[in-house]
Amino acid sequence: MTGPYGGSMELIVAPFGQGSKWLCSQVEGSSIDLIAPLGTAFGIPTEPVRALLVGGGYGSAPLFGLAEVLKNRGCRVDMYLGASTGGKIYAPMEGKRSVNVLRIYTEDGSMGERGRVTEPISGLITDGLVDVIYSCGPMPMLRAISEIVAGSDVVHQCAVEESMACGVGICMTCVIPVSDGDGKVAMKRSCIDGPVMDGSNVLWDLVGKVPEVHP
Amino acid sequence: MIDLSTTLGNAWFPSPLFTASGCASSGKELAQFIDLREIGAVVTKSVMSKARHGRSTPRMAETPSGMINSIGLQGPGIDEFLAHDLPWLVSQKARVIVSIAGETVEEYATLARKVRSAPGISALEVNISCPNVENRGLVFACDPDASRRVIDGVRKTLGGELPIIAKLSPDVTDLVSIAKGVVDAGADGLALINTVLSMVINLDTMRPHLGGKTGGLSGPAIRPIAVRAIYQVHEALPAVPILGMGGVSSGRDALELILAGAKGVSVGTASFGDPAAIITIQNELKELLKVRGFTSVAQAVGFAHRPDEFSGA
Repeated sequence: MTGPYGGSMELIVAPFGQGSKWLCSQVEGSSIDLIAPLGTAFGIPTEPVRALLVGGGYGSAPLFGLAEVLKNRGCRVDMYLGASTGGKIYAPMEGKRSVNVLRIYTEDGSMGERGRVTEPISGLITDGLVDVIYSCGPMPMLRAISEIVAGSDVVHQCAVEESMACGVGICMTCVIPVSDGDGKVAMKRSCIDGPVMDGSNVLWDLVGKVPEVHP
Repeated sequence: MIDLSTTLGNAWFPSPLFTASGCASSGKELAQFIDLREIGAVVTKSVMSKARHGRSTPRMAETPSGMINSIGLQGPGIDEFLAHDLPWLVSQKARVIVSIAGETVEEYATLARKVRSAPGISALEVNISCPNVENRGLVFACDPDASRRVIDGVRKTLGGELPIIAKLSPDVTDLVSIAKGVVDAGADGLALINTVLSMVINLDTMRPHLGGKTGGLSGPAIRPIAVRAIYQVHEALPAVPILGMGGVSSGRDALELILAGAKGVSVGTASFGDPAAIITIQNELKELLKVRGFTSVAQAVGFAHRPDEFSGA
């Protein structure tokens, strides 16, 4: 995407399915059609806040740019990255540039501290050390953070993940059950109503299920 | 100049390219990428009487040359649709084919009654073949008698003006007899084909991958099935207009369905990879018609059925 063609953008792609493998196999200078940006972005606070960025596995990828933006707004930015093993932490050194504290957690202890990235968060909240949590990673991690944050004043913005066919809101495959505030459930498209959602609105119990309550 | 215009019953369209129901939501999202006035019509996602959550996720799986979806008719319900989605499409000057789906013969009739008084609709698609319903017994299009009763109920409720297009399933033994049945019951046209019932098993979980277990296969993988279905039905019922769909991804594919007998062609899965695909396909089709010496779409409809030029010579 870089080169003598004006502005550049960086895409971080995990070769997982047919499309992402194809994308990763493209040679330098290939011409690729793309539609961007799509969906919601992380909300940036107007005043300096204490922000915690939590990334699971490749989910750390969008957090580095976010850290820069928050830092430029005068926020205190801490970043916790976690994965099952060290090899699955994406670009751990990248995080060091723009954060106050970078901590890494692996379940097998092969990098950073042994344990889950969510474990230290409740302590931070109890001690009043964080105002906003930004997260990106596997759905169970996002859910765990939402549960830890529940009942506190901490805002949790999470980038949800669901398989999607179109990315532009026409196929209805990537829906996530979200509370509409009136006690009703809305199946929101994570491609255009997300990926960034308020973690307290997502009905985590119902993800992957059909809501019993009628819309 | 190639005349791209076409008709389905008494409805006229400037182009034979349509969106496929369920692959364009209610048109608003696609309108960011294409001018809706340039295509034949927006065929809206099948709407039911009440709002509906649909099936659980995962709702899709990639397959060779296609994909399986298991949405389960998520939607706002007919009242919400008529109050918001339809007026928006009309305000954009898009032509609209409203697609309805019900669980009972009565529900279809109720939907038809509500649609009857709504302005700005070119035709009504009656989806009696959605594979993603809880009870496969509800797939009316797999039962000749149930298919007829649904269409009969809709025709009687709707009156005589708005064309009814019955959307049929390829998952039947004798498609022609089902087609004849719904035409006898009052359908003005046929939409061929809905997705093909299918399944993918996830090798990590070793269970069906989709939340709804089964889903509908779409994309280029099913195109030959669509061509066969359209060809067979057009041969048996040459006067009945067919809106063809099934894996159309290029002008070449659209022309193939037209030659088999389709008067219109819907683009579905191809829009997921490229939301402007329908416009590209329309332009390619125009070129292919010209190269073959056609001056209108109408001349090419069912051209594959012409008698052998050399027979009897």
